Amino acid sequence: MRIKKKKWYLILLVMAIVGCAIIWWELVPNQTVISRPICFVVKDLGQEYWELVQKGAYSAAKEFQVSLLFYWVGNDSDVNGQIGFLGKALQKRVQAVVLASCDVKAVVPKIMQLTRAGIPVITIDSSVHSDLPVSLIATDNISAGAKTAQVLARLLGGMGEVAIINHVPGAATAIQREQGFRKEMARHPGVKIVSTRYSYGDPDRAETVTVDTLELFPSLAGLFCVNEPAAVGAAQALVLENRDHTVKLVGFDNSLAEIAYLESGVIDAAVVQNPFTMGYLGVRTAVAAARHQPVPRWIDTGSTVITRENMFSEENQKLLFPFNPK
Amino acid sequence: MLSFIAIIPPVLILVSWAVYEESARSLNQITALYSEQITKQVSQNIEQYIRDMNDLASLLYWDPDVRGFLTAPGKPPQIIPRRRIEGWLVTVPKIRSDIRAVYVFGHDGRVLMGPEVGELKSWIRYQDQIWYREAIQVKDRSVVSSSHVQNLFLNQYPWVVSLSRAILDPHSGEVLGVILIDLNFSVIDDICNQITLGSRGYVFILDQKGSIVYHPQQQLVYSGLKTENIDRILHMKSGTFTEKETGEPRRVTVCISRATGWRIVGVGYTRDLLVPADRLRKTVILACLAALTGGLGVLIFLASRIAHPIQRLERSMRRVEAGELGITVPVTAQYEIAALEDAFNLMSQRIRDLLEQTRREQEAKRKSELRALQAQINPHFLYNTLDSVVWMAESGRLQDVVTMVSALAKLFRRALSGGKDIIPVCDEIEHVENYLIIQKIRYGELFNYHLEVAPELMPVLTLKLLLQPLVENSIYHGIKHKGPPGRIVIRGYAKDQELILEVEDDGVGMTPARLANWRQRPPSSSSGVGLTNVEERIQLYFGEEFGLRIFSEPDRGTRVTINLPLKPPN
Repeated sequence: MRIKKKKWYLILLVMAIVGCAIIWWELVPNQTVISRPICFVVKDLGQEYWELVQKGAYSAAKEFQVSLLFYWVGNDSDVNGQIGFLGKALQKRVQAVVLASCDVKAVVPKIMQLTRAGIPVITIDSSVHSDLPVSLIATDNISAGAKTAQVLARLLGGMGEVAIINHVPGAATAIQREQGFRKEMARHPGVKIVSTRYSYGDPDRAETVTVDTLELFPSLAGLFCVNEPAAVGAAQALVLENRDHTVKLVGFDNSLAEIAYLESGVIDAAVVQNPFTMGYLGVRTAVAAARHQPVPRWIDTGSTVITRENMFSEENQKLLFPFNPK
Repeated sequence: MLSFIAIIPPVLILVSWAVYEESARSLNQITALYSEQITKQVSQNIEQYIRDMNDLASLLYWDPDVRGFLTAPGKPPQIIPRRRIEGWLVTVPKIRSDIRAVYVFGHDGRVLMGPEVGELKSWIRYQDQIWYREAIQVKDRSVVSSSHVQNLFLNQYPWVVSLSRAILDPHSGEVLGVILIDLNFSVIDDICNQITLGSRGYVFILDQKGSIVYHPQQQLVYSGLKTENIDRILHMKSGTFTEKETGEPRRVTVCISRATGWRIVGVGYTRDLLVPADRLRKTVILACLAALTGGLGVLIFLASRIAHPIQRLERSMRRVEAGELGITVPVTAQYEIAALEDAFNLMSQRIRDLLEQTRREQEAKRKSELRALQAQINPHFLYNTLDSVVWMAESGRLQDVVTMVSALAKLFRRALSGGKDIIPVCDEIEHVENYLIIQKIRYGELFNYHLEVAPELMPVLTLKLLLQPLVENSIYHGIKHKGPPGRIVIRGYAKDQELILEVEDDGVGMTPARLANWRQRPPSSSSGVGLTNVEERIQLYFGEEFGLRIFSEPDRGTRVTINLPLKPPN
């Protein structure tokens, strides 16, 4: 009789434990909520391109219910500023870091520190000279450069002098796009690359160096502008010098200004990336990496060649003009 | 107890599960209905909105000043703008925040629009644009586009939904121009945001071709980062289906708006929509668990208070059954169990006492019998009788010798044979007769005897060895002292459901004192044992209401009456 009583109490205890387990399983939500923020560092937010990256990033942040620490620098070459932000991220022990690096080398030590501290680093837009980042989300810049070369060669009929207006010498995108351009252009022997200048992300500087180039090469037939400020600055220069009809300009990215030039014919073609997608995927990948899920090493967000003719097609509309109902 | 416990949980769970299933089904049905209603409501609101825009277009359509502008002679750009209409074209967008702009495009290139709208791009041929062409094609109705970028104006690339309507000449049917109203998404956004389809649900709108008119995450869809099941939605009529495109099951409700041809699609995440059912399930499970735990608690309580005492009692009863008499259980329980335990204790002791009593009675019976037997096998009687036999044999009274010896033999045979205590009256009479025969021969003229027993009583049962001691008493204590001739009468009759046997003599009788305390006489001689022994045996066998009664008068005689129950011979 004594023994039986103990057995009953044991059964009661088991039932209570099972009950608590059931309550726990039912009530606790399935996904673990990330409480610490994700650090997102871009380049010059004054450019529409980075604005779109930001929009994509916040869109993803809302969807995945994470908070973002969003940092940017005043211009595309301020890698020291970016290093400062990375230091802050390390201090705050963020869940993950998404970085669009101004320079391929300078940020590597900080990336090493972050990775050692268990904070995964995702690079977007620009790659770095390191294997430590868990993922790279960017346009295939080499192939984008190649596309530009193809378009420009076609526009020139395969013959002519061209100049490159690049942006920051140490930036991955600058290096890779030029690389791709040159490689492709080598297949068009009639086209000669006569000059490469750097605009450091400033349209006014771009205008200045373009004017310079135009004066140095009076028979210049084509321009390859490696990013948007370069393209807009160069377009301004063409209009100023009244050379917009004789010089074919192929640019990169799509600001409103660039689109206007595209429509009016000053810019003949532009290779457009997917900044919104880049920002979105940056955050999404960061969330996955923070949850220790496998992430792809490289996501190619793609590039499209836009001309005056195809810019208002249904697909390209969506690409060129980010949906912004307000 | 155990079987009781085994039944309750399955029954409880079964009932709870049945209740939950039914309720969950109802809940889900209601939720599905609600989703459909809501989507329909949005559709109706959108239709109303478009109708409002249509009305606006109609106003312009019928406005004579508009027609006047379109039909005025001259070639653009030398058209005199009508300030009134232009003012109107400016005011409307200002009043309604959802209307981006209103314009009227003439077929020959003249354009009516507000002055702040912007500069028309010189290289654009608006007549080639889709909104213009479709309006002309349809002619008598408005055409609503899906979302697109409005690229008519310099440096402006807004996303709009355009409503266009052709203005025809009423006589010739020729196209004069097209009214264009550009809508931003604020109202559509508001209408679609009103609804809640679970915490994560939303509404989006597709046009007939599957292009997106509105989607709360439009940029994501345009970037290809988010997909909807557009194919399936396009090919179905209004209704609901569930899909698992994004990995999580979702319920998609489609409502086709007849007025616009658009498809209003409501999307809810199944898990969110099932939250009420989920909550119900949790509640049912918790209630079940609580009931089971509570039930178990009560059972344990009952077990310790009721079942265990009863089991204790049962075990004690087994022990009593096995022969352990007189054991008791400690009265610990409460309520009815205590009464049971008391009763058990009482019963146990009573059984023991009864058994004791029976044992004692049996012993007493045996002793009595023994004494009766002793009385019967009286040595003196034997010696004397044998002496008589010898004397009679010496005297040559052979016949008397035979009689005497036969009677003696029968007497002793009965006395020594043991056997039944209860015998028929006739046997008892025969026995006493044998005795009387012997005594008669011995004592000759001392007495005479009569037997007066009703013949119908012969088969009736009586206790053996009753009459002979009485007759012995009569002879030795009654008649012998008085002298011949004595008279002994033995009677047997039934009265008041009793068997009465009497032995009456007219001997010396008893003094009142001896009569009063005849029972207390010490068992000295054989005759002394007789009466008390007879009564003792009668009472042992039949109870205290039966027995001996003595009626005696000095010098008159004595009558001893035996009362026995009347036992028919079965």
